[in-house]
Amino acid sequence: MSTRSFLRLILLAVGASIVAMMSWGAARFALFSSEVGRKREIPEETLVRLRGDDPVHVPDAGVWLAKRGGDSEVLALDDRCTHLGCRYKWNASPGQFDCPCHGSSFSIEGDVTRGPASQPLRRLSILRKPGENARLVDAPRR
Amino acid sequence: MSSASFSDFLLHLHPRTIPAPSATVRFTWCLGGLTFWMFVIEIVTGGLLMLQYVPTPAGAYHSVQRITHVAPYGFFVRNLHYWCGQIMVVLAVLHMVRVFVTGSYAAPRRLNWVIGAALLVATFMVDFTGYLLIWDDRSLWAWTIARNLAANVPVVGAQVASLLFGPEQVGDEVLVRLYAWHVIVLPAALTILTAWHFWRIRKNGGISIPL
Repeated sequence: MSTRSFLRLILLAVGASIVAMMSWGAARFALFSSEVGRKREIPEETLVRLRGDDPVHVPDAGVWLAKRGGDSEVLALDDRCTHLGCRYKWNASPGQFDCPCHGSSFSIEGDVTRGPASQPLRRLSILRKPGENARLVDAPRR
Repeated sequence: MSSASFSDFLLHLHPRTIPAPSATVRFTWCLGGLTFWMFVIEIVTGGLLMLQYVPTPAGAYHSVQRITHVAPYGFFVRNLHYWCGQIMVVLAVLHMVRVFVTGSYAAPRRLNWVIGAALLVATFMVDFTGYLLIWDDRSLWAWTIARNLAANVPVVGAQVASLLFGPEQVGDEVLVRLYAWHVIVLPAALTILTAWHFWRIRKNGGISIPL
C-alpha cells in the first residue's frame, strides 16, 4: 500500500466517523419526544396505602399524592414548581412543600405560602378504574 | 476563466481555473465564503430545531428550555445555531468592510454591492426574528419596541407593523408570523440573493481583483 492510499484511507475513516457521530447526535435529537405523550399512571395500591398528612412522591408519573388528615379525597399535584419547574419536596416538620431552587413554599393543598412562585401547584385529576392503574390527567383550572 | 463557467452550473460554482490573485487569502480573508458556510450551518441546525420548537406564546419558551436542557444533544444543536447566527452577522459586516476597503464595490461590481447590502439587511432580520422566537421577557419587549418603531412609519405604519410583527395583541398569530419570517421567507430570500451574488462575482470577472 502506498503512502498516499494509506493516508487517503485514514482520512476517509476519520471523515466517516465524524459524519457518523454527527448523524448519531442529530438522529437522537430529531427522535426525542417530550413528555407531551407521557403516560402518567400510578398503581392502585399506592393510593390505598396513602396516609393522611404524609404526601408520597411518584417520580415516574411526575406527581405528589397527598391526603388531608380526616379527608378521604386524594390530591394529585404535578411535581414541578410553578416558578421555574424544579422538583419540590415535602418538608414534614412545618408540613409544607419546599422548592430547593428558589425557596418557594406550598401548602399540602398546593397553595403558595412563600414566593417567588405566584401560581399554586398544578392539580391533576385521578381517573380510577377497577383492576387498572389509576391515570392522571390535567384538572380544569381552579 | 473560460466562458463555460458562465453556462455550466457546476463549473460556475467551482470553475476549473480562476485568476491567481483572487485566491490570495490575505486579500479576501475568505470572509464572504465563511459567511455562506455559517448560513449552511444555520440551515442544517435550524432544520433540526424545527422538529422540537413550538411556535406559540404558551409553548415557545418551554420548548426552547426542553431543547436546551432535556433533548439529547439539544444544547449542542441550539448553541451551534445561536453562535453561528451571531458569527454570520459579524462575518457579513467584516466582508462588507473588506469589499469597501479594497474598492471592490466599484463598477462593474456596483450591482453586486447592492445585492450584498440587501443580504446584510436580510441577515439582520433573520437574526432578530430568531431572537424573538425564544419568547422570554427580552423577546417580548424587543417585539413590543420593534413593533412600535415600525408603527411610526408615516402613512403606512400600522400596515407595516402588522405585516412584519403580527397583530397588536399577543396571541398565537404573532409567533406564527415571526416563525414564518424566520424559517421560510427570509431564508428563501437569503438563498436566492446569495445565488445571485455568487453568480455576479463570476460574471464580473472573479473575486475582487482589480479589473
